Amino acid sequence: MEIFYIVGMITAGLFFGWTIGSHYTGAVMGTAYGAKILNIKSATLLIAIFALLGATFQSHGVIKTVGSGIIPMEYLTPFRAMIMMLNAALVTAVNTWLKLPISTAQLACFSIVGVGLAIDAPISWKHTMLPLAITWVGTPLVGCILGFIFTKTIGGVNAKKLETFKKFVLIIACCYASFTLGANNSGLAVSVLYGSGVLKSLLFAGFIGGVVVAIGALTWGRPLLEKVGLHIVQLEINSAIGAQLGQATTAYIAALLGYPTSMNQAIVGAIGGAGLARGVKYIQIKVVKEIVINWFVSLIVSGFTAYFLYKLFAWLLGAK
Amino acid sequence: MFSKILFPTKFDEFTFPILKSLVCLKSAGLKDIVLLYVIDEDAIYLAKESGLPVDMEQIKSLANNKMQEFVNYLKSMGLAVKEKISFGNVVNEIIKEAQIENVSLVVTGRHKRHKIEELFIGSTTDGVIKKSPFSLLVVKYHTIKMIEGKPIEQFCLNLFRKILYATDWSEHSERAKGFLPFLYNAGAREVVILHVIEEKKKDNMEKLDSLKKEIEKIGFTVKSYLIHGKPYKEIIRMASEENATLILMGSHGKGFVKEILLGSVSQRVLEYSDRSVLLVK
Repeated sequence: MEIFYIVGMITAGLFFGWTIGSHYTGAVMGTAYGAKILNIKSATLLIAIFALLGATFQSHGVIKTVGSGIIPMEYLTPFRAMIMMLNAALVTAVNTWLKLPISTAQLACFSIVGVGLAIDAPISWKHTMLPLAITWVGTPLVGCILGFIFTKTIGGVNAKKLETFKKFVLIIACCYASFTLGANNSGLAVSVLYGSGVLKSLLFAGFIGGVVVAIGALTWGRPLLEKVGLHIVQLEINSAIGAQLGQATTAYIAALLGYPTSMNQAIVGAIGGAGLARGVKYIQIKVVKEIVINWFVSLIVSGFTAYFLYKLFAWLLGAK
Repeated sequence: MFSKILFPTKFDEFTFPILKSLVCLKSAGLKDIVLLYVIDEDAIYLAKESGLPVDMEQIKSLANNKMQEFVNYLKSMGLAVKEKISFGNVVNEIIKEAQIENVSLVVTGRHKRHKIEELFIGSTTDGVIKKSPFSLLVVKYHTIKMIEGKPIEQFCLNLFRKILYATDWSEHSERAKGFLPFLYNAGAREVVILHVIEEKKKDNMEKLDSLKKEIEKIGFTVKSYLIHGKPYKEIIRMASEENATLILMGSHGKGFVKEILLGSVSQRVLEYSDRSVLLVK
């Protein structure tokens, strides 16, 4: 039976990773694609390459935090790990229709908390969940500050001749954001695979996470980016660079600290900051309200579903 | 049959050529064109979810500006034009507007798409075919052919020049036949009748001969073929061999499950042929 749980956990985890790759395509490449600096093929290919690199080499902190920092590793049986990933995958899939504002980072973490509560495991509220909550609240704020600073700095360089150079810088900023996507988010898909001992090497776990995220970007990310690109307000180049750098740096710092966060909320903050720097109102105040709602919806949906999914399957299969 | 048509657009670069090719339907009775732009609620949700800024007023005003070019052209050609911008699910909005405006035909363009997109998203056209009770003209305006190793883009200039009429003697095929006199008025002069059979039946040749005579009476030059094989494959092959510009056929499903698994003949013709298709419901 254990092999069945392991297969279930891997399948659900990989599906979850694949959705991360597509889900964040707009957030890391939307500015360059929207400004028609990159075409859809190059945009998705760059995401795939840089996310894979970020995942392989820099996602280890996130994998450790999520895989072993929320509940102790010894509590992670293959069955429990399967339920966690199944919950993350199911909520993501159902959300394709329901369109609830759910962040993947919060979804993964609360899936673990939900199962943790169901099995009476000691949850590391103080050492992991509190810093995570601070990271999530801090993400749009730090994004905003950095977006402001970067946009001011880039905007200071005003020579006409540098326009082509700035386009190049925007592409680099998007590649940096893609690298950060790998570093910060891909670990979510493989963290319990590591925590439950199915994957023993952090480097290999990171690589697997990177591969599925890259596949997500190359497959579903493409139509998503195409749809998004047609409808977004095109940012002027200084704001685009500032926002993307602000987002990438914010999420990268979080990844170095080992805390996963939302690339989307980071870019909302960073675009807000870029707008402040240029005196343009890109982000409406109601978006900030949506982020706050997002935190609570993510917590309730993923935590509760994970709790009940565990109880249901434990009762049906008699497993622990 | 062509008096009022609904033309949903996404402002692709080939929208204008399609509109131009439709103007010849004036002589077949076309009087009104309803131009529709649907702001896709999914796309707006995805953009917002990605944290990127969206401005609905800006999207509407851009759409309005783009529409004016089409409106001016169509008005200059003596057609009455109505512009509409709506928000929601694209397929549902198209069907809703077609009902509100009581149009006789919906015209859509179709461009080549990525295989993965086919798999995950399904096209607006597919959705309209499945859900709509209206006849549908799908203009394949963008085909790429390799000529001497170089990709050559071809655009449909004379949509109604030569018609391949595929019939299976069904009620839907009969209704499709009803479009032929109107297409004659729109400039069509040649018809190729095609009946594909999977089993040989005696009366087919006689039926085909009498149908040929009937269509000749309208004024068309007619050829007819009775072919053995897979209907959708043969229709596509013959349309290409005869260099038809339009495939005319009735649309009917093959039962719910089979249609989901395989797609009906008309859906497959639409999917795989590089010719425009007039699908009569």
